[in-house]
Amino acid sequence: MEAVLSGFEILMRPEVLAFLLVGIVAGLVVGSIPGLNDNIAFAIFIPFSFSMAPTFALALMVGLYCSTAIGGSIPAIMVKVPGTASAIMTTIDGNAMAQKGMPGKAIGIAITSSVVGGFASSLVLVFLAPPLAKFALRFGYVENFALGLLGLASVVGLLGGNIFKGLIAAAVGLLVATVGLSLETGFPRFTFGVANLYEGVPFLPLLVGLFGVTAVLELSEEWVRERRAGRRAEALPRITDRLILDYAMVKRLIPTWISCSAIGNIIGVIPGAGMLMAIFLGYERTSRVYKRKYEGRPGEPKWGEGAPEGIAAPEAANNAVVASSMVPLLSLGIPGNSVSALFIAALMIHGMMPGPLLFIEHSDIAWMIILAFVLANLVMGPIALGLVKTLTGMVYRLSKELLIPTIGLLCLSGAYSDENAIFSIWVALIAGVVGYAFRKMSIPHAPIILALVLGRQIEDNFSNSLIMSQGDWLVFVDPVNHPISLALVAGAAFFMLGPVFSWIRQWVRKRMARGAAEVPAGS
Amino acid sequence: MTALRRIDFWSAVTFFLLGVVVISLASAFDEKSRSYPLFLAIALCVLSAGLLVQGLVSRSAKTVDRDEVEIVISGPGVQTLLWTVWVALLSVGAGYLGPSVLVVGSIIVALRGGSPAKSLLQSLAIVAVVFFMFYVIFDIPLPVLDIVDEILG
Amino acid sequence: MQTKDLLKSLTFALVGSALCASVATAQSYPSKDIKIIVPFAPGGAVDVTSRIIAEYANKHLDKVKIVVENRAGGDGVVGQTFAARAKPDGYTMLAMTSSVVTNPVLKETQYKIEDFEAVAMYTDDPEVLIVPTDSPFKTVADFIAEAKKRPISVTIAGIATSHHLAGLALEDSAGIKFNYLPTKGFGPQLQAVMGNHVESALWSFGEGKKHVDAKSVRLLAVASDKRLEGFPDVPTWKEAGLNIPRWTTFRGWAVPKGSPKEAVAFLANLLEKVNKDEGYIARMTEYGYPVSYRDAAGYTEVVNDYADLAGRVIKKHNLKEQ
Repeated sequence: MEAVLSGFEILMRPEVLAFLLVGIVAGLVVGSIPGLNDNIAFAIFIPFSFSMAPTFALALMVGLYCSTAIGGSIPAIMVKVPGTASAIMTTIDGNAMAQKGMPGKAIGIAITSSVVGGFASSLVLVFLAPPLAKFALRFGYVENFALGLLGLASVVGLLGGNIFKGLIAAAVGLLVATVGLSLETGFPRFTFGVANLYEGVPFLPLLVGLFGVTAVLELSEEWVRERRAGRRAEALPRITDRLILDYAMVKRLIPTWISCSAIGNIIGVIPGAGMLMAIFLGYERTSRVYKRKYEGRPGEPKWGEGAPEGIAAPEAANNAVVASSMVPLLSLGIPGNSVSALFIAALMIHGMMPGPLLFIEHSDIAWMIILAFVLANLVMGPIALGLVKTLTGMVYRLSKELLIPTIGLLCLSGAYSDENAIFSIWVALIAGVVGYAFRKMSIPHAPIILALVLGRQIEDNFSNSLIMSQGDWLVFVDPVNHPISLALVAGAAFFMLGPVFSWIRQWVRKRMARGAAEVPAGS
Repeated sequence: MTALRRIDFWSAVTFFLLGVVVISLASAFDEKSRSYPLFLAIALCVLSAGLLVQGLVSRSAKTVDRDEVEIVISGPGVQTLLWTVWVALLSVGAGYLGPSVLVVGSIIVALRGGSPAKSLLQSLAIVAVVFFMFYVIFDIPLPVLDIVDEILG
Repeated sequence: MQTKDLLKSLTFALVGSALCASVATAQSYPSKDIKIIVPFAPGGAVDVTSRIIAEYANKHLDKVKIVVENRAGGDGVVGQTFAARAKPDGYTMLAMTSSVVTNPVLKETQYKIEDFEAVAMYTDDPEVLIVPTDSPFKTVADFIAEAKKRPISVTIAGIATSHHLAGLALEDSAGIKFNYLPTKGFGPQLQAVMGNHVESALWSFGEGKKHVDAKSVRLLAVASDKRLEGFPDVPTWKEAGLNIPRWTTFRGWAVPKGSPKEAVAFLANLLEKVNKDEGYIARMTEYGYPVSYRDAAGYTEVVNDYADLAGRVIKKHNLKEQ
């Protein structure tokens, strides 16, 4: 308790608070610039933090980590370009709602959902860290494979209209993820002697290309189309409506917030699962609920055409991953994802190592970090609501013909700064063109991204599991030694067979209807 | 042959060929490293064959028309070309600022038409802001010419 | 006319300052910032040690600085190639580690080890054998006895990394058997050990020290010449009967071949000064990076020794066949 209080005391120092606020604002700005994200921002910031007091540096990083995802949703809603990978799914319903003249409402939902998700996960970090960390430790090679499988199975919900196209997208994503030295033997697969590919296709440039550069190409297509039709290019939506949600909307979104925050928190705690997986799982679940509950009712848009839940689900899920990813880091020293791994670097620079030792040697700092997450999530809502008009006014007031090359230059320069390599720019450009071609073939993007994220995890953990089990495949459904894996595999099977069941049900119903129709004719 | 005008037909063929190429590449891998990519590549071939059949059966598939092709070429096509020129210039060591101003300016001209002078000025402003952000604030070693490094470093 | 004049004078100013800079280069070394190329992402062992050194080295420099630049990718190959191709003017250094030796042997690379010239070494990080805290192996003797009966699972950073080579060398010298679980990234390896998903791990001491201190994992034996300070009960590999006198990961500075002699001497001298700094020694020891300075000749010897040792293991186990 004493440690908690001294942590609180440190956090309340004016300079520390100031750095936390700077971090929050910086996160909003970094997030709202396509091509920049928290990963890149941290990598850039860590060298600076050498010469800073550790409390200042950590406060700034916490603020930035919490608010980047909110920033990312702003361009996603306004121009259909996700500012960060976490806003990929937000673009769909968010931009659709903005196009219908309600950009303020869309951004309001995004910010509120982010705050709810983020605050929930900061509470988890405060109260549930030790038991959850123990739970996280139970994930070994076998469980991680099963988890990857479950994530991949959620793709079924994202396939869109054509099942072949969705599966082709997933297969292509998985194949791209095999590029690089094979884990088992070190054989260079599909590398063509290019050293930059040994560790796999650089992931951040790939993502920046797939969503940023593709969006630039789509914007330019729209531009040409409007010009040819003799119309003046449509101006970007302006926020004129209210950002604050009304009571009815809040009440309506509560179930979505609860389920998606829960998903985000669980996924966040498990090391290596990652933010994108939480977003996809939350999105998939919410889409099923929405279709059952709202779609087809008067005044309710179709899923993907401006549904409030379509914004709330990914935004609540992505922020719920933020603080909970610090659970394994702070309690065990194991990073929950690539961004929280950079916290290790920031702590190590100042001679501290996250893990049990941190709570013994620097318990005040440990608690300062934890409380900073709570505080950041509390204050970032009002800050974001206050800043959003300035931010959008600043960047998106540019006319479209200037915005297109600006976003292009930002994305490609951002891709470069990931590894300081021109090779990464090529990756982003090619990924962007391929992504655009996929759009033209109406091949969905979500399965590719999910497959890219999970491909390596699935293959590597699969092969290591089989090494451990001496080639016995049943290890994944072993109820005694790997009950978690069994549950996850069962969940994955449920996801994958879901469409088959509903198809059978429809078929049976049709038969029965036909049978019922035939009976009177026969009698 | 209307099938030949359908986008789905051509995407199915493309993915099938991609699968075949991957299979031939992966066959040269060592035994342990090849089974997984081989499996994926075969799956890709099967799926694209499925798409092909589906495309031949269904009637409502999207077709290519001339207008669309023109739009794609004059919008995204030109963008891709200009950005490729940009990366190529960066790769051969032409610095960052020059190619950026040139390409961003060209894109503005290509999109809007009108006076190149105004576009060049706007391009200068955009590049200046982006450059300042990445190179000066974030300290990223952009591939600038030595002379820029000497002056600003 | 006026604008033209302005532009003209501006151009002169630009060219002039550039000329001044190049003249200054000719005058005395160092006249501008010196870059250390770290061929790995920020936050890793090489990055952190390089930044600590830069911080202390900058105390001895005025006007110019040592700056760290990350060029990650290709398990180090990207940055190593970048440094090998850099202008040999004494302003670009490589943070040279063991993978500089093994990468050109095991992978297709555009550089050879001969493209670099050693400046000086700053740390020599011994390999350690780690087990989970509640492992049944109480001592290294228990471990060896069991590993002679059946293969014991061990997590390593990847195939053909120095940790994998160390494991293979142990198999040869001690007659034990391992079952390798290549696991990318240190976090997942730590997770596997702490969660009892694997029976042992081969790490470098610097990575594991803090987790040993925290009792998250247990240290069985260390591959250094003598027992480590602060761990008097942990035997060396040789004492434990593993028959390998030492297996270390070296870290030091190198420059592209052909860099000016006085620059190399200056840098070696600078690193030597840093290595005598009390604050620096305390900080490195705290992290678990044993401070051991060697000059260019000594460093070259360490590199060649490792090349010999690793080369023999690679050849014997046919790692190069791919």
